[in-house]
Amino acid sequence: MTSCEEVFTPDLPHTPVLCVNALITADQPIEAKVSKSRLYTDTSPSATAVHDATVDIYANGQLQQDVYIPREDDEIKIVVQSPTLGHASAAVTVPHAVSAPEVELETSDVEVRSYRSGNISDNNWMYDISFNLNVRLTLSDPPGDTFYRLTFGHDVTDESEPDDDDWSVSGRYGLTVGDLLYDLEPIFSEHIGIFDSFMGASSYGFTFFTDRQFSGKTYTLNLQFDNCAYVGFDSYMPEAELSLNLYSISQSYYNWVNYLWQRDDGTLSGLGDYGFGDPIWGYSNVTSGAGVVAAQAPTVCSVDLSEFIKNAIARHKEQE
Amino acid sequence: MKRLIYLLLGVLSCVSVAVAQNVDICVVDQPAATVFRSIVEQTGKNFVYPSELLEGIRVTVKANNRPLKHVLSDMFSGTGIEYKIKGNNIILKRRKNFAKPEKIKPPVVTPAEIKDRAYSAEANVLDEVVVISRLEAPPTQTAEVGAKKVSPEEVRNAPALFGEADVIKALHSQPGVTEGTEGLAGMYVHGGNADENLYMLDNVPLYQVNHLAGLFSAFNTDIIRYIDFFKSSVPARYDGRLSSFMDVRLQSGNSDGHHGSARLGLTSGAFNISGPIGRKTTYLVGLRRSWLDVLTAPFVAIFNSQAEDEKMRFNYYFMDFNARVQHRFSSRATAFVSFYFGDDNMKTGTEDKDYDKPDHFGFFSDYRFDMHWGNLLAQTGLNYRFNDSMSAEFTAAYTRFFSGMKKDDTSLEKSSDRIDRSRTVLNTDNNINDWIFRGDFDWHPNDNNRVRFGAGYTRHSFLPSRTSRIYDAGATYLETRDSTWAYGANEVNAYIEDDWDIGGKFRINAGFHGSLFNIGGTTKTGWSPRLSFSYRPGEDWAVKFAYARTTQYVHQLSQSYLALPTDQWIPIIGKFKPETADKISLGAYWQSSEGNYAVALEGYYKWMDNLLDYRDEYYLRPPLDLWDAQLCSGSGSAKGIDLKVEKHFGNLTGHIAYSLAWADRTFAEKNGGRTFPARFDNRHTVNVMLNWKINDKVQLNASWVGHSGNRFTFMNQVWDDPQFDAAGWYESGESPLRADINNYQLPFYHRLDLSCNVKNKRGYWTFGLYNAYCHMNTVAVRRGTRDIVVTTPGGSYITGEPVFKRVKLLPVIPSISYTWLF
Repeated sequence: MTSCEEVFTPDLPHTPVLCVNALITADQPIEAKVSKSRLYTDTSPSATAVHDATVDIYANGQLQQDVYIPREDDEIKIVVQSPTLGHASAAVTVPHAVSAPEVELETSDVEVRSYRSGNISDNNWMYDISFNLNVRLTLSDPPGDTFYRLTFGHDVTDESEPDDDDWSVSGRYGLTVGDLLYDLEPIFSEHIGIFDSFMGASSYGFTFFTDRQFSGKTYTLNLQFDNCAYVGFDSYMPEAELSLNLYSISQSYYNWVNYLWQRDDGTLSGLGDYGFGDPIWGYSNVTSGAGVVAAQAPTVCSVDLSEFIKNAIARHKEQE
Repeated sequence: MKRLIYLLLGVLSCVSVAVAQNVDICVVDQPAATVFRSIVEQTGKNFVYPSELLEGIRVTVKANNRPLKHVLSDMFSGTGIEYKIKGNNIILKRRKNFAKPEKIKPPVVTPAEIKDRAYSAEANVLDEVVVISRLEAPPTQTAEVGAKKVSPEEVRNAPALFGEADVIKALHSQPGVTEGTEGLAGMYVHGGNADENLYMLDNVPLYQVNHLAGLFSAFNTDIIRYIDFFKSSVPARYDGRLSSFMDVRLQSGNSDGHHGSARLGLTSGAFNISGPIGRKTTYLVGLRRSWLDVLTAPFVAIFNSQAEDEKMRFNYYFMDFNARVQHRFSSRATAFVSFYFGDDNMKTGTEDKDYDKPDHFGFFSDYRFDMHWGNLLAQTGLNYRFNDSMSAEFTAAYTRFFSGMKKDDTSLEKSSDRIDRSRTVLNTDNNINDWIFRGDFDWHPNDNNRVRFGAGYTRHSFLPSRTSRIYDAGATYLETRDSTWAYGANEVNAYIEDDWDIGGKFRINAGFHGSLFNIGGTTKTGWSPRLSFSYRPGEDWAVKFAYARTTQYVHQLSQSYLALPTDQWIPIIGKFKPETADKISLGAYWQSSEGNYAVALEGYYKWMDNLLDYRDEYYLRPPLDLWDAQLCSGSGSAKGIDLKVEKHFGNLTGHIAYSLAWADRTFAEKNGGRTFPARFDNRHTVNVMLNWKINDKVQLNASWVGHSGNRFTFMNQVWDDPQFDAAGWYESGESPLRADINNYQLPFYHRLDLSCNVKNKRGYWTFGLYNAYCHMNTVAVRRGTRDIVVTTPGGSYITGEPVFKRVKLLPVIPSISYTWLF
């Protein structure tokens, strides 16, 4: 009633530029993807294809003729040249991996259910353990500006025992990491402004952060995983290992994901779209304005929950 | 009952005492009101008369250094008008049993600057405010460039959205003033930003002047006496903003009885009353309140009655409350106390009430989001006349801007044996508190000079942000407080200006405003010289030159063009310097000999330094960073020509205004350091305002505005997102390729607003049509999709096709209101 939208063709020139995307990981080969920008309404497959570009990689100022494996502290520069699209380049320094953080665990609301698996004579029981897991990860921030990314995962054995035709025990075995309560760790929300917070934005899924609040000091991440589960058998106990990967990432990587959050979850893009604010554009550290060249160095931290699982089952058996 | 509104006059002459004075004047068959201005200029006296008194009255006077009384007697001879000089007022009224002239012309209604009250029996017969004062005088007779005194009638006669007469929107019809975004009460003057206008209520600054995200301004137009507006020449008594100064003056109150008005419109109602308390004291109370909450209550109730699972909450209102008490101690001293409170209050949310039911299990939520923001102003003042040539006003004021938001989100998971409850609470406050102490002096050393000087002290307390978050779930309770920025600042200022009439042909207004702004242990200075000069080679025309420097110590951080409670006023600290603007103006003015038509042509060039703005991609910096990390400093310039043709008298009055303007900005950390046009760099702007008085009861008003479209940063290219491995929380797609800031000009904007005032015995109706011919204007362009059907051998499906879209706002909006006068 009060507004409408009208399709139109703007009279505005557009000149495609080279786009370079690369995520450089320490000790892994460099891979860069080269494409070009396109008019938004041009969705033809060839619109972003580039056929005449040359890509040069410089490490610490030296042009690399062969495959180069980047190391921490290397400054990597990617230079792309195209006779039709011009020039684009970006440089990034591969960050230092941070030292392995200290880990403390605490479980709560542990509940074990047991079911007989297979024939009674087999005396093989299946254990379904549900619990909440609190992980306190204390990291030591190195000097200088550091940008972080945390990922977590686990090994899930997704198979049924070949001889077992009991439907109740088919499915996923092993450890299932539950829901991380992002709200409980304020550092995951540091990129969210007040207005966005009130508009309902949350940090759900966002595990990128900076050291602005603890530069050069230690910081303990409070990771609360609710509704964790483990399924195992007397005869078969899958591994119960939680992987926590703490990446030191380049600022370009952080800026990129921060932009993505603003684009997809923030209010600024909506305000800009409807003329009530300035529009936001895609973050890029490439000279052409298109693409992101980022770098990361991982630190892997494994948390073994086997002991906790064994103890929980043992207590359950005692109570039975 | 005959309505009485007193006429209190006088910028130059507010407290002068009548003495025998001689007058030089030579006019033939001119409107009486025009002649009055000349007398005011020479004698400093005020004319007080009912507005209808001068209908059709034209006078011929030839006097060379004759006593004022003789001149007045000659003027009104045969007109049926008699006069009486009471103190500083010349009070006019119709002689009894004198026939009214048959030829009817619309009343000459001119704005008032009221500093004194006419305590006389004659004043009781007055019907409408009629004021002759310096700024009201034709621009051919003043030194200022770009000064405007706006009457409440002008505000009321300007058609407005929802029929809500609006001070700021009324100024949009002035050349050089741009409205900004469709429908909002923003104001952009001569290429400046929205925060570069100083809004004052009785000379005390207000920080928040909008309601409902800018749809309405915070001034109750029913109790306004007049508005002073300066956009080029700035009197030395004003400083603190770069672009314009708007001082809204409220009425003082009736002394003859209790009178007022009640208005009911589509979106708000107002009630105003004023009257005497004893012989020497008057009061004024005004209340305006929106009633959107009342209007929406039935809809919310209907929605909730039909919704099984979720109940909606919605309650929004805004209000303005004004009160003023004025007491006259003697003919020399008058004191007043005034109070203003403006508030926006919104409560929204949803609620599941089913968790109260015994057999209902599952997830339930209770979400509340409350916002409130506004101003509070308390002021007391003393006007004192030392002698015939010197008067002063002493003011103490407290002004507070406040905004607060609270979000309370509770979730319950209910099963047969337990209830798990989690709650998140987010609270934020943002406020400014200013204590102001000021003394302003007004000295007339002789007939040709008027000297104003004064000094003031302001204690600022800024609290731009204070936020707390609570997370409460089961055994977990987490409370965090974001770092609080609080600043205290001391501002001292002093000014002096002289308005000097040199031989009748030359006039100079020269002054200087100096200020010190102490914050964080450092003191910043602002030296703002002012000069206005006019030369009047003939009675009918004048040319002028003006220079003004302005200094601004506070800056508004706003991420949008809406007026939101999250907007923050921030003082200049750290590496940043006070913002400054230097402006040169030239003007040529002509007025027809009978004063009916006037033409003003003004040109200006303004250059601005130390401007603050968000740097490119500021949103990538965490909010916890100090605000200055998100800003950058730069410069800007604006230039243009304003042309205005006015018709003052007759059944059809109004003006046509045209502006040719350029405005740009240059920031080292924006747009790659390249200069870019300002958002509201509207090259051509035309405003037409017509008021047609059909008869004594009906008046039609029309306002047409057309201007080059606003500037917009339009990104028509995209590039493919990188496929970084585990950033799996987002959907990869495409990102817009950055473009030059404000690289695209939106289509030409135009709109016609109409209103009609119909008087009856008790009051008047106002009917309005906003955007009468329903031209929905483009406010933005965006990338979007439209659904298309794709047919394949296997069938057909609907998909989204990328397209560019224009976003258009606001169709025709009718309005109606009734104002009851008593």
